[in-house]
Amino acid sequence: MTILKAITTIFVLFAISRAYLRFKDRTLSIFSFVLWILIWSLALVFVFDPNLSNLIAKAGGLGRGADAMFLLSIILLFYLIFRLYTKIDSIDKNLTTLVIELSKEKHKINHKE
Amino acid sequence: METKNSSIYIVIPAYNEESKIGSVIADLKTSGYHNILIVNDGSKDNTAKIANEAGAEVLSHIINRGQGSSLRTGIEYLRENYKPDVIITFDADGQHQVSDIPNLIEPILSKKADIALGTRFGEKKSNVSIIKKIVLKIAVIFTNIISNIHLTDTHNGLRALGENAIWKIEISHRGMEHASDIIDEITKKKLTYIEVPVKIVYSEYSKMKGQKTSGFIKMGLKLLIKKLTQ
Repeated sequence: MTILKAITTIFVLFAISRAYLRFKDRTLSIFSFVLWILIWSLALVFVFDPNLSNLIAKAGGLGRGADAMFLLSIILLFYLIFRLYTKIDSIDKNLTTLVIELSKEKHKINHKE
Repeated sequence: METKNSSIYIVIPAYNEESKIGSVIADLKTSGYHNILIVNDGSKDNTAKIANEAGAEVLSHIINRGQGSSLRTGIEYLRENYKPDVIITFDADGQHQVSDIPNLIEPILSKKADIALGTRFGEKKSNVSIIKKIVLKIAVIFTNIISNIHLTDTHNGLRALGENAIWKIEISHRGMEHASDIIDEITKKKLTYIEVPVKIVYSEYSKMKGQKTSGFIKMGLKLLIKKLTQ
């Protein structure tokens, strides 16, 4: 096993263990947990068998396996950014609603006193 | 808050406006508008205290959330606790003129429109800088395309909402993009609208406090993302 393969394996196992802990804490849904296992396992497969990426590249009409990996990584990153954006947006909206409701409630209490 | 003489309410979002808020409230009261609601948006200065002493009703956000959320607070609070016929949205930095209010109220009370929107590009000349004028015109084109509506000024904070608009309009953006939300809602909820020429007086203070020209680019991007993710 090369150093790169060893480092990647350790990192992937670490990442999956983090995902598992978050899943155990119920901060990660089963869907997200499975998705992360798939993503990291796929990364591991490509590191151990680079020829597999060449097969995917050929099937997708791309020249090299590295190009296919690069394209897939960009697609994945965009998807993750989109998910993060929607999540942050939802948290921001909830925070605004909380602040609004709190201001009305506080005003009501102050006026009753 | 007085309710007996009038059902016209003024909502003023305020963030760190201690130097202006007192005179803005005094001007409104002198002109006979006594139902004034200040939404203190997490100010770190004495805005709330001064507004209270000036005789306005004050609601306070514990943290700063932006002008859109302050207007949402004000409108929601008024419709839950009073029965307003008209709500005027007014700025705290002194750039809006109290003398424009009757012209905004008139089409609402005479049932000509559900909402009256102030425009800087009518016969009343506002001292808008060339750069701001260009940016505002781009914002108008952008909003008109996105919201499928034809207006001359899409980001004017001086407006009057009639009963229909008060109950139907929902502001979803917490920042300055709320102006586009309101226009979007006019189309979505099929509200009738009218543009009323108003005079906006830009002082050094209001330029410092108001929306920066660069903020329009940020706002445009936010609105585009919202449209793409809806």
